Amino acid sequence: MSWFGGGSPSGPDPMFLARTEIEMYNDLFVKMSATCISKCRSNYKEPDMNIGEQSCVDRCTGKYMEAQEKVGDVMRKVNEQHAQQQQAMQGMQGR
Amino acid sequence: MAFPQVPAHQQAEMMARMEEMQTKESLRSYNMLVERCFTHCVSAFRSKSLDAKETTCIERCAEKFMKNTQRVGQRFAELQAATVPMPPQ
Repeated sequence: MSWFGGGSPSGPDPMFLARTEIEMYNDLFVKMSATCISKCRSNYKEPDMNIGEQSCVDRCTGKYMEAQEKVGDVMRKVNEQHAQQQQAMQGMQGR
Repeated sequence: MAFPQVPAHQQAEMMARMEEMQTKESLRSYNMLVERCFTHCVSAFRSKSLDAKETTCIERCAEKFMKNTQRVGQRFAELQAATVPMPPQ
């Protein structure tokens, strides 16, 4: 899975894109871990996770990745709408 | 010139840097948005996938947040334009 669907030949630096993608995956992982730990922990009495906590974390990661996809779709949709509005406004001003 | 404090031969480089910053910022904002909306909308873990209620909540949360950001951006641009004097031509 890539955030970048392929840019123009004279587009941004590929090293920058690769580095950024890795940083963002790492950021996603860190946030997902922190969120699922705080949602799923039942106590701090034992260092080992109990069965409940384990299955909670499994489900939490599944849900989080799904949420990631949904939010990505919404962002794309809203950005397209905004771009269309901007174009429409510029078209009107041009006349 | 888009960046008055930068000399003419570096304008293109500055533009490229700015695009990089914008790309990075929008991805950072994406991750932050997922975390925020997930935390707000999902509390039960009976299954491995989102139910309809959670999905709707997340979609609305994301849309509202993005529209908020756009509106803030518009107002910010207006206020900046009002306070920064035009450079002499």
